[in-house]
Amino acid sequence: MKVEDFEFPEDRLYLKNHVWVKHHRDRIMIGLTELGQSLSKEIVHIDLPDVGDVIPKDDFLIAYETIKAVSQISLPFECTVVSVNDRLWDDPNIINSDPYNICMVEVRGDCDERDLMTAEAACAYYGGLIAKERERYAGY
Amino acid sequence: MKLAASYGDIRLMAPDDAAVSFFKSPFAAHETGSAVDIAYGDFGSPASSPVDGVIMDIREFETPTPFRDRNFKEYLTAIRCGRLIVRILHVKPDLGIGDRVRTGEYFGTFIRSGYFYFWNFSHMHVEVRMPDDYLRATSDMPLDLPVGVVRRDFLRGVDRGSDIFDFTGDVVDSCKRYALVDCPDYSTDGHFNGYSVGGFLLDGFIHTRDHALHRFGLVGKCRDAPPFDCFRSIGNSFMVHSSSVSLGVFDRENRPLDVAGASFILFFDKPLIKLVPTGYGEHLPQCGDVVSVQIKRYKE
Repeated sequence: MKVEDFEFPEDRLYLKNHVWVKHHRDRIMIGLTELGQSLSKEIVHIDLPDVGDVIPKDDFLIAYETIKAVSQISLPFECTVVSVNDRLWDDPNIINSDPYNICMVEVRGDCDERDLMTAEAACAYYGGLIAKERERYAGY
Repeated sequence: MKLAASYGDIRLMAPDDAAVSFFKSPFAAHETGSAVDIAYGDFGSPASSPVDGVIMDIREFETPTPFRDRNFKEYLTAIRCGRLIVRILHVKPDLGIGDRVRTGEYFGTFIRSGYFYFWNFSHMHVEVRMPDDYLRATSDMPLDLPVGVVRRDFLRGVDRGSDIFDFTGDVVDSCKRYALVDCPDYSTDGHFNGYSVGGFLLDGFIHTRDHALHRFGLVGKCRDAPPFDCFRSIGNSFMVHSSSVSLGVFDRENRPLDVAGASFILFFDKPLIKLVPTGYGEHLPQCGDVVSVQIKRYKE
């Protein structure tokens, strides 16, 4: 499913902070959407949790910085970190090349899917956000 | 050239016709007072180096974009000044690594990148950094602001102690991106000129609706407490939650005008207030119109 040419695959769910969430066996995979990576190009620094960390609900799980901006990823549920994509330490920009096949971390937690958006709902939500972002570029 | 800001013995200089801002930008380094935006010229026009030094790194990179098929280039220039690095964004450098630059001399041209709003002036973003940490967005190396005691504001028709600060003036420039208001009731500390409230110069964007920026700055040396609820102080500056004030813009007949907000920055020359439309090309007052920009303090 697409909105303004940005993909939102239907095999996963979405949060309002540019994060996709995908259940895989007893784990939950976390990654950045295609739109999210487009709004976060050239990541120069990333802070990842350690395996075993327990992250409270809405606390930051991952933080990353570009040359000008800081972004943080949090989840609407408490989680325990099960695995971390170590490739991100050497090159956080692998997210930009393949956002839906690069999992940043895997967690376990009690995820209420009512807090998440389907691809259809995500397209509706992010369509509005894209329109608002594009207003900045009017006249360019 | 005039002093925009400093860090230790590193002096960041700007042309005499420049304006500066420490807190108008929503980006990370401005949260800690660690960056200054120096505005002058126009997009594509020459930019002067704010320091003496040697260019030790130039990075070309892509900025955030909400377009799948449009990319925007940006440039980081790192200038070694003694033990420290001066990092500059929003200028396409016309020199190379190893080249020496001198204060006030041409080193590139202003660009507009994906970090800009349509209503931004051309400007360079300048910070001082450690040599091993000049790429990341965050910085906790606050600059020294050369702001002194601000002449007490004399507000037309408003008593001191009032909850409303009123700046009334003529629109002197109006286009699809912004309108500029010349209000004669401005203040100075002898170095910067601007618009003051309670003895502090305003530095920031105060919005009338949802915006990414939820704070603005007050700068100056003053014995009195700032007139608004502040959540952080850094040297001679204070940061204010935008929610602690409301902004209204009115025409000569006191009818409200629908704008996105007003931008206040510090000028070496005559200061102006920038009114931002609700969208590019949306209605703004025209040249010759009289407008009143009012900042009202919310009372608990």
